[in-house]
Amino acid sequence: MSLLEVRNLTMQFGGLTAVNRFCLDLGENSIVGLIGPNGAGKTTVFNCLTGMYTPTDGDIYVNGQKVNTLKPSQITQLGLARTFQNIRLFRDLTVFDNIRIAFHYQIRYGLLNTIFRFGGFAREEDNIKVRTDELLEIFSLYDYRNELARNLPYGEQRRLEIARALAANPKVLLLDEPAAGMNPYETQALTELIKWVKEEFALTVFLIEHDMRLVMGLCERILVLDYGITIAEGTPREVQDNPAVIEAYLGEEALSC
Amino acid sequence: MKNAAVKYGAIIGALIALAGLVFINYGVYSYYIDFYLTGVLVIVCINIILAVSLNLINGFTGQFSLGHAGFMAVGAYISALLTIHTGWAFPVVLVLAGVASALIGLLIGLPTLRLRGDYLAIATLGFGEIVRVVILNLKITGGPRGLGGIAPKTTFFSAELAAILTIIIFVNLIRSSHGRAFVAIREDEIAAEAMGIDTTKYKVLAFSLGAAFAGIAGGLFAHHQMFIDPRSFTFQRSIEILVMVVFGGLGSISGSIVAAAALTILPEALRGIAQYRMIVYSALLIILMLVRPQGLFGTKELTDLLGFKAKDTAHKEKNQAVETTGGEG
Repeated sequence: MSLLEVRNLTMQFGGLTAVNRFCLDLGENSIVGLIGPNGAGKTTVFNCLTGMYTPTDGDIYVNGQKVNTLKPSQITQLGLARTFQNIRLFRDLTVFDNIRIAFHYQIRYGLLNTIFRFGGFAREEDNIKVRTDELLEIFSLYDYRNELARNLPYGEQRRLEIARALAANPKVLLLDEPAAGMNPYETQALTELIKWVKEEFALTVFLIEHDMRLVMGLCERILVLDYGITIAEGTPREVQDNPAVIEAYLGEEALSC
Repeated sequence: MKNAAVKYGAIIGALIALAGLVFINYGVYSYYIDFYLTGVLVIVCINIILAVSLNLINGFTGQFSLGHAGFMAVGAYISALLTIHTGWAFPVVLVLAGVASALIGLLIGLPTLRLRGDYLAIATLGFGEIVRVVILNLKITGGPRGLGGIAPKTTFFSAELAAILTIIIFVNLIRSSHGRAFVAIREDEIAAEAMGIDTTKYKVLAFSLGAAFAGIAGGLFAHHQMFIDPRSFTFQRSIEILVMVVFGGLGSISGSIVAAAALTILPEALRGIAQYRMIVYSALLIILMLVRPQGLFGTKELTDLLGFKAKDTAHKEKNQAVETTGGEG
């Protein structure tokens, strides 16, 4: 059974069809990329998958369960975590707290346990602390542990967002332009990190990216979106040579010369 | 080393607070502190409950509510009517007042918490006014003439106990994953939702919990004044509580406690200069907001500040050491 299955996803804003009959089938431990020119509807696909938008038409299944009308928090709890194109960290909280918060839905203590501090409250809090520190180590953010997220260098903020998404214990990780604004060296390091994280956490990764080196080096399969329509799908090599893709990116003349 | 400093800071802070509490309690118990001053202290306790509970909504969860006096009024009238008509035990009456306010909070919160920022402020302001007008027009509340003959069941000790319990409950709540969920909503609601936090649930929870404790404070207030009328719960009252929260720092329980105490005692202490009293009070508020716009404590707690201070000195010492070595070289 596929982890994430999308059938004919359509999203309309008024008269504009941002995404048109988008289909996707993500199996376990795979890594798939979504590319396309600006305004092609890539982030809209992400927003539909994570429940930020309710799709106009089509079905989305996570682990066989239909999630079209669920709230974002419910979808995250089913195992779909994401990062944002424009980083959305809890800027005025420490790096440590940013990650710690993402463990929230996994806690078992209720309000009364919290107020009266019984029933394994301390044990669970300690457990969250340990797991948070583990993630900080993995993402080499431990030195920034008590720093406010806003004070982190850009690349570290991107990494922190991925670490925070992982704390939400996902099966599918959605990355929206993880390498945006990074220099080639940082992008290379990020590529290695994503590869490593995918194996270590047995994840399926679905990512939007403009940096072709990252996409081509990382993805097993790529989907190309243009004006909301999937114009190509295949391995990096197939997509690279596809005339429709070249046209979408470079214009018609590029083909004739 | 920092942990040790925090620990010592906390212990010293706790000891000073405890000594102060023992002193005040002994003073009230032995009538060394007079009747008037005891009354001020009761109001301090009530205001602490109001400020701390409003801070959960405005400071920690970041939902701008202007309706706290409304919840206080619900609690005050429900508890007063229960005492007058049933004669149930005071703690039971207070809890019921809290529950009633919480239910109203839930009822108001569910539709209005979809609104953000200014819009929510206007909606909650409207709620506060509705409560006041309803009370003004009901027969059972005595309308504009008010409700008198409430048994004076609020003593300094009961108010103090209620305030301490409130503080313990809110501190424990904030220092947990539930507390972090509130703060996450304040920081970035979309990100919080994406991290699996049911933001609607937590916003309504913050609103209801805040309302519950405002109701309890209202109950204490009614049984302290022995007479309540709609004028005690106007928009002005909501603003007073809000000023305490902002003054102390949005997102700091210690700040709310200190500010509630200071802003209750200050106008009383300034009574000597009669007509200039409110001018001085306002001027002090303006100066504080200019000097420290984030409030006395910002989002920090007393324990954090004591800890951080220790860390700063350590840092400074190190720098000085480096400077001295540099000088020698």
